[in-house]
Amino acid sequence: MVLFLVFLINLSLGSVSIPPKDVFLGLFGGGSSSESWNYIILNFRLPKALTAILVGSGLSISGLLMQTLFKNPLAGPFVLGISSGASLGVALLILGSSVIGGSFILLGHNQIAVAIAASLGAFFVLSIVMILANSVKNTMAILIIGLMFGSFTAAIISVLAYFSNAEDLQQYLFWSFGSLGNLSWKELSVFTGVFFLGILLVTPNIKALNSLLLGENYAKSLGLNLSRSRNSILLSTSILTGVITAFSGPIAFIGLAVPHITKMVFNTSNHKVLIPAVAIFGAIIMLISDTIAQLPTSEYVLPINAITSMFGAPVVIWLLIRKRKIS
Amino acid sequence: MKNRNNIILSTKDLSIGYRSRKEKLVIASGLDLGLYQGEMVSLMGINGIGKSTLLRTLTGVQKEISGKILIQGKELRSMQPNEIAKKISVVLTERIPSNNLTVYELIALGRQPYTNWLGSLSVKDKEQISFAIEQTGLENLLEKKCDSLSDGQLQRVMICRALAQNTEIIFLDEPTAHLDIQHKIEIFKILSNLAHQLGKSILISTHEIQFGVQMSDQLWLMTRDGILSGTPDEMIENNSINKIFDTGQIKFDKDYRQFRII
Repeated sequence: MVLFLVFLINLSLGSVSIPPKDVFLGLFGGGSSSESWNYIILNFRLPKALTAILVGSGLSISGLLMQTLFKNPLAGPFVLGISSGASLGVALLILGSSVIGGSFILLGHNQIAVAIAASLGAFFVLSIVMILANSVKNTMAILIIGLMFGSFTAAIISVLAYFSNAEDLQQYLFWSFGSLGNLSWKELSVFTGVFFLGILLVTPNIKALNSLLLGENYAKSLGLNLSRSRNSILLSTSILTGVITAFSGPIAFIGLAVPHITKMVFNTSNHKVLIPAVAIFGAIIMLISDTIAQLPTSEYVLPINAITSMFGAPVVIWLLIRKRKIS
Repeated sequence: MKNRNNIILSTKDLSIGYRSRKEKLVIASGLDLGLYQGEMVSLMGINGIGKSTLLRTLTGVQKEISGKILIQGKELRSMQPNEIAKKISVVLTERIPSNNLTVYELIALGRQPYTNWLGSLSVKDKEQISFAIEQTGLENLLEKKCDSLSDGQLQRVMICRALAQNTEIIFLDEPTAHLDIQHKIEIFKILSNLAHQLGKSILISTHEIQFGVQMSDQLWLMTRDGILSGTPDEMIENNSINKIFDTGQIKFDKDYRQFRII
């Protein structure tokens, strides 16, 4: 219900504000009172709002999975180095084109090309992490391997940035701010398809995640096939964060904070409740952040990453001080 | 319920230890052990002798070096994790990472080997949980969060969870460490009740020699030369009990039924 309300508000506010009544008509009725409003809603704001929902819920679920798997309240969707991989892919595409020159230049300024580069980068890192994950027994080691990948790719990106020109650097920087807009319906349908594949892979792990609340050894004693469940959890997280980063850039904070906010509100650790709850909370918070980022009635749009952290961090601190417990 | 004819778990020429790529480190070998229905067994030995290794091997978490482990005649190696989980439940020394679970939720997780893919509790699951709660006297704590429990309460909850798992065998790794003497006795009483009234086979690794001698049906004494087993009276009578420690400074006093410094 709240989700639907926020969704409507998000659609109605932007550089041109459209009354919620007309938004409603534009979506479900024969059309709102203005032709240009219809156009804005259907081709610009609706895809953006849907993207916000997918990004918010996907990142929040991934964050929850990582926090339970690694028994670490500071884990988030990007601990596996997925976003670093995606960033590397995009950096190679955008910055690499100015370093190497030539044929890359044509590709470097195309949305789809960026998404493909990010997917390839994320998939590349994912494969290596999964291979290494199978040869280490200790789950904590996977966390460290993910961190190492982050540093390693950041180093390569700095080298690329050093040699590239200002214009490309700016373009890369804009990508790294994250963006929910600019997706066509076609891109959005691909996004949605992969997103639901990821969600589909999460659901069989709910039982395993609950048993992991007791720690790995107890989980094993309850009949859990640890390495199989671990791989399946890692894979679904990678698919979700991979596709989100590919289409929207590395969106910070949501994946780390939303699980904590949800756990505090619902006061439970049961993943059967938490996963849907986290998805809805993530979507709501993402929609609100996007609405704020649009700076309603002004022409400016702030980077979404700045908003999520600027408004989210104080909220988490406030909740912590009020309730103290987070895990 | 004690039934010396019904052997639940047995080992045949079992060697335990660690195997790495280059070498293997054998901790104990030639073990022929038997765990019977309705018996409480205390596994005793000095720190580092390999009690935990033995427990991990018997639960299938760690691979044996050689030999066989049979559970009701079936080889442990050939069993699926879920099948083992219906035969053996455990109480470990490690703390649980999540403290936001309620006591009831934690106990209910014991039903995981039986529940469907979503982990929903059936009527039968709930019956088993209520039964376990009754046996361990936890009725008043069910809504409490696990991090608000005392050590003694938490240990009872973990035993209750193992009981809800409804297995023939329960392994406990030092269940009374960190507890005061009153709660130590309480835990030993609950466990002996589970063995003698409900027919569970219970194996406890413990340093509580006094309670082990008083309350268990069998002692497994782990020494550098292997495991000596027998009833407490036999072990005291033939002086085997003195082999637990390899120092000459203490000796078992048969009259006081406990170790004394010489």
